[in-house]
Amino acid sequence: MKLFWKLLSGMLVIIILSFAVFATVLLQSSLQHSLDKETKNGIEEMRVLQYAFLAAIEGLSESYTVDERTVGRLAESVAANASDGRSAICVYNAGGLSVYPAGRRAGELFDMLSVKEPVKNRSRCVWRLVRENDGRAMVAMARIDCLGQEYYLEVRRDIQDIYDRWEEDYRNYRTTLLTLALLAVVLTSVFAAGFTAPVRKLSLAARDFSEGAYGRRVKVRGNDEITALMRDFNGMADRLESNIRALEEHARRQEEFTGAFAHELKTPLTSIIGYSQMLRTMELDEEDRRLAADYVYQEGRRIERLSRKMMELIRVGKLGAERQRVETKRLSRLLEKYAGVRLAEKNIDFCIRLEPAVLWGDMDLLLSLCGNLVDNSRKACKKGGRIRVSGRVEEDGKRYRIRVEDDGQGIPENELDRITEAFYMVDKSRAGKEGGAGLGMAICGRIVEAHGGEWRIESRLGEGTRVSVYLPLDGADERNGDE
Amino acid sequence: MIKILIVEDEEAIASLIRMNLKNAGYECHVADSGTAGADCLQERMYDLCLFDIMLPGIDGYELLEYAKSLEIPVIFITAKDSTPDKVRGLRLGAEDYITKPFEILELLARVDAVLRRCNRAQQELTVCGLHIDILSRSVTRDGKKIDLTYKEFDLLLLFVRNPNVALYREMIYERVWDGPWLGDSRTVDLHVQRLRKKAGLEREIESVYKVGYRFRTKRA
Repeated sequence: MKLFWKLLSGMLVIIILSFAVFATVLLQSSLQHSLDKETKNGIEEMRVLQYAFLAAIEGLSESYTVDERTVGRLAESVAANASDGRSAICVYNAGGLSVYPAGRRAGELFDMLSVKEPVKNRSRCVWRLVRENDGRAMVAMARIDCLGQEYYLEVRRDIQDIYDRWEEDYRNYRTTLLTLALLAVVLTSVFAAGFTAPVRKLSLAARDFSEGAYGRRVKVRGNDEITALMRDFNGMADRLESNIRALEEHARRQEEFTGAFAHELKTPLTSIIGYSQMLRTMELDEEDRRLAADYVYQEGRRIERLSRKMMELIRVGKLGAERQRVETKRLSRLLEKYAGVRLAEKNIDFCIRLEPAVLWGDMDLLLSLCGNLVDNSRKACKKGGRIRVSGRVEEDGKRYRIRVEDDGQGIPENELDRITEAFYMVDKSRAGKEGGAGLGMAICGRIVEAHGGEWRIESRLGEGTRVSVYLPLDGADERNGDE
Repeated sequence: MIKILIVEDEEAIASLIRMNLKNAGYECHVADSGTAGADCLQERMYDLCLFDIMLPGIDGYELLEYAKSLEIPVIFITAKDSTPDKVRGLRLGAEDYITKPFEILELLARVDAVLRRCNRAQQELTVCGLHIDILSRSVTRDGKKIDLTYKEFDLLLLFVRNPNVALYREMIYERVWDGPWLGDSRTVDLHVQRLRKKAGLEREIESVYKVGYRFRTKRA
């Protein structure tokens, strides 16, 4: 069952039940009150009549024989004088037969009074409410001693009007209850709708969210538990959205990388397949045969280079716990050895000067970082160019700056922010000849990132490029961690 | 002779295409950048252009616009193999779209198809005394008509268009019968035997041991 219907029916039951109980109690007590009052009046009247009767008997002269006829006449006159019209008088003799008006037989009250009651108590007035054919009445009876004879005076008081009034009240009560129920339905449904509306809104929003509308939020107004829930939902949605966006971005980058990698593989593969096909199907002259074989070899080497760089890239991704103390002296020595062979053929003026310090990182990766940067500079330089590698501790004492400068051809300004993308090459045809896979700067970027460092690339077309890398010194990590 | 312009910045692939097109009897020019390609288009008239899309300088799409203004058909040869790229290339008016890595035979077949579609291919060939009319699919020797079946004619064209190339049986089957090779060599052998006899090419179409056949002619 829906919350709306639960609320509606629950509230209706409570309202109607409480009204019904309250009204019933009220009606019953008012009826009881009226009856009590009427009974009191009836008994009062009874006493009055009783005295009136006794007075009338006492007023009779001695000579009168008090017989039933006399009593009957007396009763008639008393009834005519004392009755207010609502009450009817009846007088019975000791045998229970009526003296006035004639021809009746006394009922239960007479039996109670004459038979069951002890003699001394018989002057007591007894009464009871009866229901007869023509309505309800209060019947009271008392004994009258009439010169040694026993007579019984009965006063019958019509109380039908009380019941009539009560019934009218009851009818009014029913109408009121019905009206109230209708009103309650309307009011509670309005209230229940208002109460469940934010829940419905929240549920709709949650459904939209789960179907992919990650920007969906609920408008929050007010300060109750449901709005708190809505606020929580919004908070959760914010977190989820940013996580999803990050994942999507990651997946997109991964896809782009895979696409670029496949593209990068296809070019050498095309050559290898094409030339080997030629070698196997055509009769080539000696020169063409050597050329084809050479291309197959070159392009095969290119794929090998690509796979090596890929492995390096993957290794950088796994860097974490393997960081250790790296002495710049050793780094300098290894870099010199690495660069020496490569730079000799272009007759490049190479100079490396690293201020002694201890870095916190991975020796192999840092060497790869510097090596890649030097390689890039070498590719940019003409024969007889100049490459400078310098390193010093920064003023704040926490970081170490390594700078690689060259006087090569530089990078166009609009390409500067793209050069760290995997497989991006500023000059593809030249990169091919120089043996690049387009991964060097991507690897450098990852290495710098993995060390928690920063880097800056400045370049002027035709004048040269300067790359500054800022790396953490040994011990700087712990100090940073405390902050 | 049909002249083809190749614009490709990968030297290896450019020479690969050039060597094979030359062998098939086309004249080729190679440009290694978009700007060089545009210069070539300005200097002389070509019958067909083969463009890479990602080129230094001017990219392939721009070159295509230029070639179209000169009414030269263009085939893209590129590593971009996603459907949107292909659709874009063809929408812009390229005649065909070849993705790397490609088979040499496929490249030649497509080049030939585009040339024929644009009415630039040679409609008649004369090889070893055989006169071949491609449009009417008729072959004559010394004025006498030679009756060839549909497949035999295709087979003859394949040999004539790939002179001095050892054609593997599976390559022949895939090209002429246009279906995957299931290892049954008899179909190919039977047709080649009949073609040799009918066209009088017993000496020119030679068997290559364990491979297939080769159509041998003197080099042009």
